Amino acid sequence: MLVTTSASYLYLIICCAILLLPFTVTLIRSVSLAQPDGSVIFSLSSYNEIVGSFWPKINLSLSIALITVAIDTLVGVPAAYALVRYDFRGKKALFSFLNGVWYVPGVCYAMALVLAYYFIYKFFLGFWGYVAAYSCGFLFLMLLTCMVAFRHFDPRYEEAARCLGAGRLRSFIRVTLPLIGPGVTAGILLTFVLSFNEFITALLLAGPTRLTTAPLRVYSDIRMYGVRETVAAEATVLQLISLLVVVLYLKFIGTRYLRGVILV
Amino acid sequence: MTHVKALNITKRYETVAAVNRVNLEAEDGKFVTLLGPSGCGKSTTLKIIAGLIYPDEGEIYFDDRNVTELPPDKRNIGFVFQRIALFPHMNVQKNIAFGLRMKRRPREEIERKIKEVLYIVHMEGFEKRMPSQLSGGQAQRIEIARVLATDPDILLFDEPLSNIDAKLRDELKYEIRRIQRETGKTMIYVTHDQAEAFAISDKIYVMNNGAVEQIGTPVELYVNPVTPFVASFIGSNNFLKGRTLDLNPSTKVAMVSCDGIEIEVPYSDGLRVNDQVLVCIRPEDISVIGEGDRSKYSNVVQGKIDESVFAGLLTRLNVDVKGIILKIDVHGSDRFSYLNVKGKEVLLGFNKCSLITGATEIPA
Repeated sequence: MLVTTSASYLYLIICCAILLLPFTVTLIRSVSLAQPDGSVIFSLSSYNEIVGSFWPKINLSLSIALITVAIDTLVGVPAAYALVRYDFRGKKALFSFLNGVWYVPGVCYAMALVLAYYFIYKFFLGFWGYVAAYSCGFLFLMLLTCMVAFRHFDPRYEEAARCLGAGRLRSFIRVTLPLIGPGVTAGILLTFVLSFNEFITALLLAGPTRLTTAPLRVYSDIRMYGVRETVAAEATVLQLISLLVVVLYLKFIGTRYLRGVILV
Repeated sequence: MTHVKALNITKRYETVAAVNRVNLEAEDGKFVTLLGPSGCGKSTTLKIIAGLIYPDEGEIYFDDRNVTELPPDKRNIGFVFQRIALFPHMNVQKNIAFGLRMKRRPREEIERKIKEVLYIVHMEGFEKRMPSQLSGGQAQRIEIARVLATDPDILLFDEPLSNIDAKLRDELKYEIRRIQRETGKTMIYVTHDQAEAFAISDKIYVMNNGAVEQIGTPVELYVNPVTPFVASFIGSNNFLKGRTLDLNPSTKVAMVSCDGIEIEVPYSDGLRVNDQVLVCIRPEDISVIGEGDRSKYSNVVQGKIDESVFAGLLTRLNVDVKGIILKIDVHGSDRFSYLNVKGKEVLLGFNKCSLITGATEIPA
């Protein structure tokens, strides 16, 4: 018993160590400053250096990700509800069309957008180009997680709310939404993480939108300067912010719904 | 207190009519039950009255108000579901308060109401419990309390006891009846359980295949079923196919010939000689008699016991009468004298029996 427990812990520790190693290397690189005499000292100066240039990029990426999440939640939740609850002509075709975007290779999707922005949707040559690209590209995630939640949601709760005098909207907000919480929570999390860190689409959209997102900036700096300490610092900051948002979200919003809901 | 009327309601799914031209009336403060086998359209009818399903045809009236077009939240009804529908993310108190908060009632009234309805269903002290911490019977009581709290005009029950174990079910059905008497509210109740329907109803609608077969009090339905379905669905029955030989208009008794057995049956107007009929005899109305008792019975036949089964309260005999098997229930202490009697010749007597006209097929 003791042996198997220790063995499984050892196994877990090894797995985590292997996974964490690359991140640790980036962190160490970012705080090691090479001196002219060849020695290496600990220094946070690289973080100081990137504050002015990198923070606006983080800000841009965060704004894009948050607006994307907001749009996908507002569009995805009602759409998922309609797709699960109602039968209408062309429902299957619509669903395939919506999730088709997800199966198109990222590069092809991005190229199609670049062409469309230049020739048709000229309004999107800028900030909203990113928002549009991410909202459409990641909508399927929200749709899928919410549809699973709605499928497991028994309509009798809604019927009960209606019979107790709640209108359609109020019964949806007070009863349905809290009960499908886990689905929406998962959708929001996936959409945020993916749109904050999206790289391929950003690479192609940087030209037409004339905006560089944070992950793109890390990439172009690596190409220009190699893996120097300031670039490692940028990468570390990007990782930490992504992680921090997820942890805070799960702690303050996510767990309430992920843990608190008992579906009978 | 509201008078509910459903006129000619019809609901089709694809081409099948789940509910077919149903007319229903529940008078002020009455307990009306829709009784029928599963899939007979009784739950659909109830949901149409609630506004949860929109009918293809027909109209619903609450008193003089036509509510056909109203959504359920505008009808002021209470609906108790077959499976517990307490909101799992709210405790008992919040569940009960839900309907009152939807009506924007002041806080003091909500608190008072919660106490009041919990008292009615005998569940005081359960305010802080979550639905997952309640047993099936407790949850169903809370559900009734939640529905009562909004002071609805009509209470609708969709097989509320079918997921509850037998002993508690018995207790709860009288509980529902008591609440009905105390509150005086009009209630419409759906069930497939005949005993449940009989115990609590003022009036029963027997439904089959989306249509109403017969309307009546429990006693009327039991004593005088008018269709083969009602005769076989309610209680147990012997069916004999026959033809009328002779009618006596002064005593209202018909002589019916059923494969060589001649039976005297009371009839009502409209019957003619040589009509095809079904004679129904309840197993408990047939007695095993001695030679000397012949005069006490209007119908006496001779048969041979084919099988006897002891079932506690009664002993069920299958008696072969000229090739027709009659089911007979023997009650009282006599039931112990028919335990090993296969092959024994017996004399059977019965007075009560009824007639179904316009039907020639014996129901399965």
